[in-house]
Amino acid sequence: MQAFLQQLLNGISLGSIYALLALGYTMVYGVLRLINFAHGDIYMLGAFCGYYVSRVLHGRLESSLLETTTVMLASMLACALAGMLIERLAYRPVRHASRLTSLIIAIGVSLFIENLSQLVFGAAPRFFPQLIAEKQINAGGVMVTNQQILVLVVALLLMAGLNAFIFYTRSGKAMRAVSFNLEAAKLMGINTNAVISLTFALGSALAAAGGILVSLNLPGIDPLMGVMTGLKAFVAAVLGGIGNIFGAVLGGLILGLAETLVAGYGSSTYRDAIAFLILIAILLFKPDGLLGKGQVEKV
Amino acid sequence: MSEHLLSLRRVSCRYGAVRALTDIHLKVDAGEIVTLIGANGAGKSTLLKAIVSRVRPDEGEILFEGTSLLRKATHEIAAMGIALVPEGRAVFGNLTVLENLEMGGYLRSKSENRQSLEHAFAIFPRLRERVRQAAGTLSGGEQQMLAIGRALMAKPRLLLLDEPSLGIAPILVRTIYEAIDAINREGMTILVVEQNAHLALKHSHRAYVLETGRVVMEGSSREIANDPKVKEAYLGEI
Repeated sequence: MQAFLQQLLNGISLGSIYALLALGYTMVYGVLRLINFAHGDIYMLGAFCGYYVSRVLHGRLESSLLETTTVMLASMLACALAGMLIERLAYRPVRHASRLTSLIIAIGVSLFIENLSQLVFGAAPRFFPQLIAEKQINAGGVMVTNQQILVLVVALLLMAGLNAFIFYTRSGKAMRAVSFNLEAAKLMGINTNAVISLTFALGSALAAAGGILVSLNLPGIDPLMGVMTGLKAFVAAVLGGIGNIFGAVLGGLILGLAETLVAGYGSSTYRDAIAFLILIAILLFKPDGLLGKGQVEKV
Repeated sequence: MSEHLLSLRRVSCRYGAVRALTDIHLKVDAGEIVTLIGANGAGKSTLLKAIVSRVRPDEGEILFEGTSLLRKATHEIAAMGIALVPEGRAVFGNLTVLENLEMGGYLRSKSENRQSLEHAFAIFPRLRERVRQAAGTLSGGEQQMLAIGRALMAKPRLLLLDEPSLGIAPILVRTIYEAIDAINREGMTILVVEQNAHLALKHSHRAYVLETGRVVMEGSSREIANDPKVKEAYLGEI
């Protein structure tokens, strides 16, 4: 039982990272019907950005919490800008071309960032500094680290913040309006390009936060770290129903749990396979995803 | 030179090789309801889309209060004071009725929107009963009310309506046209495109008849309604 609870906790912790990333995929898909394959690379850039910022900051701030917060915010800001830049330079020029064009461009952007990063950062893994000393907490036989708690709390706060933004602010409502009907949103005087930029900024900031949170737990970072994680988060978004915000969170959690349970009770060889097995299953049996509404044509 | 609120001069539009509009001259003065009637495919919707830059004319000029609309983006034209209620309503189905109305007033302040909201509810009381409901769950007629209410939230100086009666229960069509008249009496200038010529001519001051992308007739709605050719072709009378 304790082992199960342990797996559960690990799974939720991993799942909340996938959820943060899946939100970015789903939001961009929502407004542009585009799978932003470079999203996993933004997550990697977030980790590297955090790495450099924390090296600069090291020893200059008194508390490690303040340091972690600064690193995270700086990295989120930098990645928000990177996301907006990618949209502006790579996706906007082909927005009115076929969707296949955007898709291929997205793959190209992803490869470009991965290779440029290997050139700039070097291909060898680097070690993310331990911003917070790890502490084990024994909660009734289940071992929790303070970093796992941090992951959960931060992920939860970010998701709650995103939810509040999307449902209660003027810009958030505009984002939902754009995702429902871009042309009609223009008629309201909404600058849809600005809304699309904002969507990329928000999604990328969440990915950066995910990158930092993961690096705190698993400090080895390298320019290709976003490939597999990005793909899995994409699976999570599809599983939940791409375009659906709650679906992304649900999909992320299910995927994280599935992965840790398979690794814990089956074999860790199949750890990565389970995500793609889920993808195949969902595409075969419920291609709209768990919470997807399907394509209802409006009359 | 430009005492008209809206004027189109020699406007031509094409979709690929197909000419949708040819040499259109049209004007709308402040305070009028002007209607554009014609058969399916005559180019009525294209004309409205050209005004809000959803399609770009190849030739001609479109002026609103003396300013050219041709190089402007759709959202800039909305900001200038033109609101289009598109064909098929295009309400945001995932947003509530209230949120849809808020989007209509996107460019205005909260306090301005509060007033406009009351105004919209006064015209369409049905909307007030359904403020928290997702717009996608409304009936066609209610969606049309919402779409018009949403357009009014922007306090436009020109309201463009694309087929407001299309796909709506007859009883609600009357409600909607009565509302259009009421909005006009408050001073709103309206350009309405309508397949139902009978209805459109009854609820307008002037009319243009469009055939295969050309204006073939224009005049006061009463004259047009009494024209033998219009009677035969559009009003089903002999």
